[in-house]
Order: sequence, then C-alpha cells, then structure tokens
Amino acid sequence: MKMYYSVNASILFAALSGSVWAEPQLYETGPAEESSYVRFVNATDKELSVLSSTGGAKIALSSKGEGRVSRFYPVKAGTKLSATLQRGDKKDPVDVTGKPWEYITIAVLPGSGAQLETKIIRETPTDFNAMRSSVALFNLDAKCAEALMQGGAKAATILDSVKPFSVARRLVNPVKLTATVACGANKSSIDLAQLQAGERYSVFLLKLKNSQQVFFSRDVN
Amino acid sequence: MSLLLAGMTVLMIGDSHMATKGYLISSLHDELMQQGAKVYSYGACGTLSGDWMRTIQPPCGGAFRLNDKPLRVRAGEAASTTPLPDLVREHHPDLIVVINGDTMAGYKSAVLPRPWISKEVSLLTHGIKASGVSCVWVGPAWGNEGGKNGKNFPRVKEMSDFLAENVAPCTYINSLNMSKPGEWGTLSEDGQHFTDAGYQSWGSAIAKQILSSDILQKIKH
Repeated sequence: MKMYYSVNASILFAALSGSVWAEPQLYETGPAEESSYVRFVNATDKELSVLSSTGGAKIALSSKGEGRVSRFYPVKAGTKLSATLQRGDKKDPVDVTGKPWEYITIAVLPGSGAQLETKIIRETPTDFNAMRSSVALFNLDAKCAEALMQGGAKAATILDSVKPFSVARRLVNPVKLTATVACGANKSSIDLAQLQAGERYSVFLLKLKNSQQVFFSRDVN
Repeated sequence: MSLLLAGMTVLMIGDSHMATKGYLISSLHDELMQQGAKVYSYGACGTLSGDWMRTIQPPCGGAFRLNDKPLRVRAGEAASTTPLPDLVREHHPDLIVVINGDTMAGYKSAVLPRPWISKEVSLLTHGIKASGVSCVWVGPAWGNEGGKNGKNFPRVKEMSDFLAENVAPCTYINSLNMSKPGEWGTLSEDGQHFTDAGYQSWGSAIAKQILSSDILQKIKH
C-alpha cells in the first residue's frame, strides 16, 4: 500500500522570476490532483496490522476504543490501493479504489474461521461546516437491520435507520454529547464529550461474541 | 469618513485580486483609507488560504501596499508570502480582511474539492483565531463564464455557499449579492479578473459591506 500525504499544490507551480506581470497569469484553480481518503477500522476482538504493499508502512490497530480506527490516508483518486491485513501469522489482501473526494472506511470483521472479512463503506460528504460538528453512525453489525442513535437531555433522534455496513451522518451543534446507540432492544451508551465546531466524528456499532459494542473516533485526515 | 473605521488598522491579504495595480489592492485599499482606516495590503497571485500561514513563492507574482505608500509589485521569490502571525506582529491590526476563493474553486473540475478547501481554509482561520483579531472574509464575485480559468456561475455559487459555512470565526462577505452574474466586466478571455471599473465597483461594494457589518461595532480599539 502506498500512502500519499497531502501535497501543497503551490509547490507544483513553476517558479517565476524576472519580469513583473502586467496582469495575473493563468494558474490552477483547485488542487494539483484529486484525492480520496482511506482508513481502517478493526472490528475484531484481536489486534491487527495493516501493511503497505511494499511493506514500507505499517498501521497498528488495537482491539479497544479509539485505537481500533486509523486516520484517513489521502490516496490519489482512481488509483488502486493495495494492502495486507495481518493478524498473527495470518495475512489477507485488500484492494480499494476511490472516487474524487470520497472517504472510504475499510472495516475488518472476524469473518468465519481464521479468515478475516472486510466491508468497505463509502461516503462523499458535503457537510463541512466550521460552526457545527459532523457526527456519523457506522453500522458494522450484519444482524442489526436498523441502527439508531439518540442523544441530548430529551433523547432526540440524531440518526436512524442505518442499515448494516452503511453510514449516516448529520451536522449537530457543538455541544457536550452523550449518545445512546440502539439496535432493537439492545442499547449502548457512549460519551463523545464536548464536540468541537468544525470537527467530524464517527460512532461505530459492532457485535462481538453476541455482545453489542460501541466506540467512536474523531475523523482525522 | 466613517466614525467606526476611523483610526482602525486594517490588514488585507488575498490572491490575484489583490496582486495588481487597479485591482482590489487599489480600489478597496483606497476606499478603506478614505473612511479613515490605516490599511496594510498584501496580495499573492494564485495563493490558497493556507499559503498565508506559510512562506510560499506564488506562481504569478504579488504586490503589497503599506497604507499611504505607493503600491509595490513583485515577481519570483520577492513575491513570497509572509505568514499571517508575522504580519499581525508587524501591523497590530484591529481587523483582518481576507480576499480568497477563486483559487480553490476547481472551476475546471467536475466536483468541488470540499475536503481540500476545508483544510486550506481552516489552516488560515485557525491562525486568525489564534491572533485574536476580528476578521471578515470576502468570497468570490460572479465574473463571467467561458474564460481561460474556466469560471462558471454554478461553481462560483457552490464555492461561495461553501465558504459561508466554513470561514468562522470570520464574518463572511458574500460578493454574489453585490452584482448580477456577468454585470461587472472582466478582462478579455479571462472571466475571473475584472476591468478597473469592475474592481472599482467590487471594492466600493465590499467597503460598504464592511461598514455596515456588525463586526465593526464589536471591535474595541
């Protein structure tokens, strides 16, 4: 897996010197190349690693809380990203190609037997907002037909009807938030603490050994 | 002369619209001075928002104007940006005016690069917030369609709407409300940069907006 870090478009501009321009010259209005963003989520009960295809980079994902989630890594849109998931001696390949400005979450699940299973969840968000916070609910439980997230003093519904291996997202005010994530009668509470304006958050619902679990992370890219 | 602006120090930074004689570095700078403000203006052609938090050599030159001193136009390395914290330390502004948007709108791209713009804008807004100085952010004007920069009305609107939600803590000044699409003349085969008359109209309209903005009432100097 080759990991690209954001490149400032300005360094791609040619250096000009000498004459003083009478009027502005042509320049690109936008980034030098279109990116997508890829992250990994460990939804298993054991630690695992993600290895780049060249072996030069390694992401360690724990089996607890925020440590389950990697940051988003920028990848050139339209370029296939290949990586290897490693748990103990077991290795499984994973490939993904992103569209421009797409955010891709690769969830690693226990699967059957020793085999790991991956699910790819894609979103192309448009809800960037410096005055509010973006909160998403990822349903990683295959048996949860519709996940629900409620929060605040009045247990208002924040997100609902989130199907297995899909995501729903919305803007909320940057408040101190304790949420309840429910799937039918199963409910779990999660404290997201004080949300920050302009920040993005992901709440993950999964089931391990018949026990519903919920954790969250701040989206970083 | 405005009682609110008189005696106030204004720091203006921006892209190509601020980097050539006859552009906003002339018209808006003059307007604000006539209202009694001390004005320090810096323009760097083709710059992204985040470029004002670092030192970069702009792709097509720059200019600066220190209050009543003559406009200085620079090319090559001499046009390099000065990071905002250094400008604030030097001029101690009461108000920062940012003029930036066109350079990040990706007029020739199919999709508005929201994540990339968000990152660039937040780099600068975080710097402004840290400085503690009040600010206004002037978004792109309509221009004309079909020029070499690929400017087009739907994308200008999309970009302006995006900036309106993402420039906090700055107050957003929506240039699209100041004219009809195509009303202000642009340079031949350009579409993005206005004639001197166009910049005169834009500069007057921005100054009027700043003067009527609540923000001046809140600034203590």
